[in-house]
Amino acid sequence: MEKEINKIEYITQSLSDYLQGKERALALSLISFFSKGHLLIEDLPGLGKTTLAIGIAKSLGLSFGRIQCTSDLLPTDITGLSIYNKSSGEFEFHPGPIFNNIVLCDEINRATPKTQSALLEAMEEKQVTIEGKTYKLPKLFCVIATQNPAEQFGTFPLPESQLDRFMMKISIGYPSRDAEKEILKIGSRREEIYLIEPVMDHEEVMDIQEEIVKKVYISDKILDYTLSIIQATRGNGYLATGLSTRGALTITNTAKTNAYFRGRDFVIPEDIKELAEYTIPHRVIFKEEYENLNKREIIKSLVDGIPAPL
Amino acid sequence: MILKNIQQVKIGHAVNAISYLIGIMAFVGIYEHIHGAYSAFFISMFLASIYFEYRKNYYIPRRALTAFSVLVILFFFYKFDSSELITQTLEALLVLLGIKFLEKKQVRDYMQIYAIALFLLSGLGLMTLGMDFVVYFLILVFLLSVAFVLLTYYAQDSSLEFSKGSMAKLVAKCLWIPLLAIPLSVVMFVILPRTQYPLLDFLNRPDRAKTGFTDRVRLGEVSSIQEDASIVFRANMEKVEESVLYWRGIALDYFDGTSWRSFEKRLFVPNTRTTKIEGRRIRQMIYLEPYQNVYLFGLDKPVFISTRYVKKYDDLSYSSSIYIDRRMRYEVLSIIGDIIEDENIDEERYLQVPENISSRIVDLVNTTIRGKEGPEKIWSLYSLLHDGEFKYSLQNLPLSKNPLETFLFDSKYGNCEYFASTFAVMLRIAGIPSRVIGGYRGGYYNDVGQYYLIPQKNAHVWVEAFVPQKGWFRYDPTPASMENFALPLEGGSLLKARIFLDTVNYYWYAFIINYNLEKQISFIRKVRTGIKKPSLRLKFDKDGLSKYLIIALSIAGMIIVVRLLIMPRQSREKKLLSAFLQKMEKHGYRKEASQGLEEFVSRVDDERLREQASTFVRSFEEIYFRDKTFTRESVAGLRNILASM
Ligand SMILES: Nc1ncnc2c1ncn2[C@@H]1O[C@H](COP(=O)(O)OP(=O)(O)O)[C@@H](O)[C@H]1O
Ligand SMILES: [Mg+2]
Repeated sequence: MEKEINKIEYITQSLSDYLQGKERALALSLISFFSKGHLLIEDLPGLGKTTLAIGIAKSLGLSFGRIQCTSDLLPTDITGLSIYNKSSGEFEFHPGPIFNNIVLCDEINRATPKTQSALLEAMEEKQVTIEGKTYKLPKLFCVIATQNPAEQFGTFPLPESQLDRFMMKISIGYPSRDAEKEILKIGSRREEIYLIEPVMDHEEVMDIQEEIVKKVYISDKILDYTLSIIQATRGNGYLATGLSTRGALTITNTAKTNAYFRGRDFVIPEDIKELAEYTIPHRVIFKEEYENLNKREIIKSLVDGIPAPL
Repeated sequence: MILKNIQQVKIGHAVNAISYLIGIMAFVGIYEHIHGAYSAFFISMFLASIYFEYRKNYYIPRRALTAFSVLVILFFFYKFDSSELITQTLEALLVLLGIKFLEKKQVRDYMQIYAIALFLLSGLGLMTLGMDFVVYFLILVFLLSVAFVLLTYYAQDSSLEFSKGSMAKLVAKCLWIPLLAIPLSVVMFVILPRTQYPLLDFLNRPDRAKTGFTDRVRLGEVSSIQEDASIVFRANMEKVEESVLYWRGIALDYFDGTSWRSFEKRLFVPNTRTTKIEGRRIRQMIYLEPYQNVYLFGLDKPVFISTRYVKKYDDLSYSSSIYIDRRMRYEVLSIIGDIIEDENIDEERYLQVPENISSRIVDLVNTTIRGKEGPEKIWSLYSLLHDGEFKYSLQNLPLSKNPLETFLFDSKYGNCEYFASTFAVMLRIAGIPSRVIGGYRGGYYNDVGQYYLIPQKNAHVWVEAFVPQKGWFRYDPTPASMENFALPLEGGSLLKARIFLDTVNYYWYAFIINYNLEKQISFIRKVRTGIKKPSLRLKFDKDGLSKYLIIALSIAGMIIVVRLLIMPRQSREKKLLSAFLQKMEKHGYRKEASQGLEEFVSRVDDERLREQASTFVRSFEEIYFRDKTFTRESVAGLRNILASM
């Protein structure tokens, strides 16, 4: 366990050379990834989303695919398509960018609902079906989707019911003044990121994912605590709908990974509390009149109202 | 379900349980005087409400019960018979009490239950006047006082929780209320109205200066000072020798010729000498009256004062950053001794003398210390004042622009301010750094309440002189100052009565009034109960005995029922955890319910404590959140960590 944690630690450290002062966002992305979940990053352009996605893929030794969403993007541009090969006389499947381990789907809210739903379906089922034939996606598969919160016109916001598919929703945020100065000094290191040496390989990544599921112990006390949080979201005055069971699973899965990253093989309440503002807000629907409030704060105070299981 | 910290007792449960106890006691008192049918009715209502409340969590709607109560009252009016007025009233009240229990009880319902119980009690008093009534009366008054205290807490915050220990202590303290009530009522109703003793007129005659603490010692302005017997603070602590009782308040370092001020106060920075805390330790809980200043008093020398917003200064005085215009309480840890270790003091600050200092004084100092060295210098000046021709007085004080000179060479009368000021200035002239300390001296010990009572008239100033390589030594140059403060107020036995009365005051303030609940609870946890209980002997006749047996059995039965229903058994880990939390609370850290342990510990500022606490937390969680069992060894290990914290 120690060796693995050191490696993960090392990845966060070395990537923060390319993303100054963004250790938190990096750590969260890694937690989401090792919990086998997809990640939604909501942020303005130019804050390092692409850098983050490529960096993670490279240092984990995984393949990387990229989809730039536009309104004329077709579902097959994502999944790939069968093309008739005249010489062989057969249909040949040309896999799309989704057949990669880490798939960056930039500005997902610019794609049409139809394309979005093809992507979301692939994310959920881990396979694509084209002309009656089913193609399995790689076992290690993680979508990092980004959306630009400032852009409203000509976009198709992801339906609230679909947001649930993302394990976490994070934002990177502006770098601090000091960090930004450092960036300006060094200049863009965007090219170099493709040259990062992998720290792990495919095999190792899968082993860690398995180890987290199997070895990190989650006590009934923690489960009760989780249920109390879920219950609180369901009866809450600010919320129209509470957490689903998928949401509940996310809470425990990410908590396990968080515990693992901290070198523990058991979950404590803090593992859950720390992540609540990234795992919960996009899975609940706020009542219309509270739409404009700070959702993270509301969720935080909701979780703060639940006594720790001690 | 959320896991609860089961070792805590919820205030709501406690109030409810004691109300049931009061109900059963009220019933036990009167059951032989009323018709059996009403007894049966009451018992069944009573049991039904326990059953509904604890087993079913169901309450009969209030409206139905109100309607029923109205019917009951009508029924009693209907069969009213003036020859059996009291019996019938008791019966009606008992039936109403039974109905009251069935409701989902709120604060006012509890009040009504207690009121009915009191009515039943007084009704019983009309029917019997035997010794057994006194016993019964005492028990019920005791229960009611506990109930009122609990209800006060409950009304403020119904989700409060007490540890079992603190609950027990709270109850033990309440034991005193009914016991004190008896002699007290004698004092109040019999003795006091016949005396001329001015209990409340300390505040009259504002035209004259009064004794009391001040943060600026002024000389030469008034010629006579009136003694003020009003209390400035109470200090709950063990009884100690009279000579130890110097209550430090402020240190004054600057003298302008007529007044002393605290001029260059700096915040305390520990150094190798000042952090030494060897010596006899005494803890005090101080209950400070709103005395309209900011300084916090503690037995000399106070090394630690625990309260919020406290500032510690380099001269070992403390102030509150909030103006003290409300009664407040804090704990002080003091190391007893006549010396305060210190080094590298700011000599300029402590050698300052007014520029226009009288040459007569300088000459006097020089002749006095001629040929003397070191401590001998101090002693020669000390005995000049202390053992010389100067007299302690609150009258005939020098009215002068040069008060020290007038005091030394003309009037020779002065209060402690004159003695201390003169001594400090003379020391400074002799090249010995000195400062004037203001505070209180002495106090009257209240054996019942185990606290010192310090009146304003005990305000005092003394001097500290600095000896290189050693530190500050205390000198009290005021002659016979012991007698001034050790002797009680005039009027010996009345004083005792007054001090006794003050006990009630003390308990009232200490437990019920005014302090915020959080502090109250932590205080209750810490308070040691060490009061000797007076013996209460009663003769029992055979008939009576069976009755007491019934009372005792029903109380025991009730307690068992309540225990079974309310308080689950406390497990090892819960005990351990609450020991940890209590420890942290002593250090001033209180875990919020939603905080996890690591989160809680990470907020600790003190690095050493944080490390120890996280060691504890880590090993505790290893077992707790892995659902392993706490073995004897692991508990012992954890206890060890706790002990070192
Ligand atoms: N925190 C950061 N530290 C270092 N470089 C950064 C940081 N944030 C952004 N950049 C730089 O800004 C540029 C834009 O980053 P990019 O990842 O393409 O952003 P996005 O995909 O969000 O539009 C890149 O050159 C990247 O190196
Ligand atoms: Mg980009």
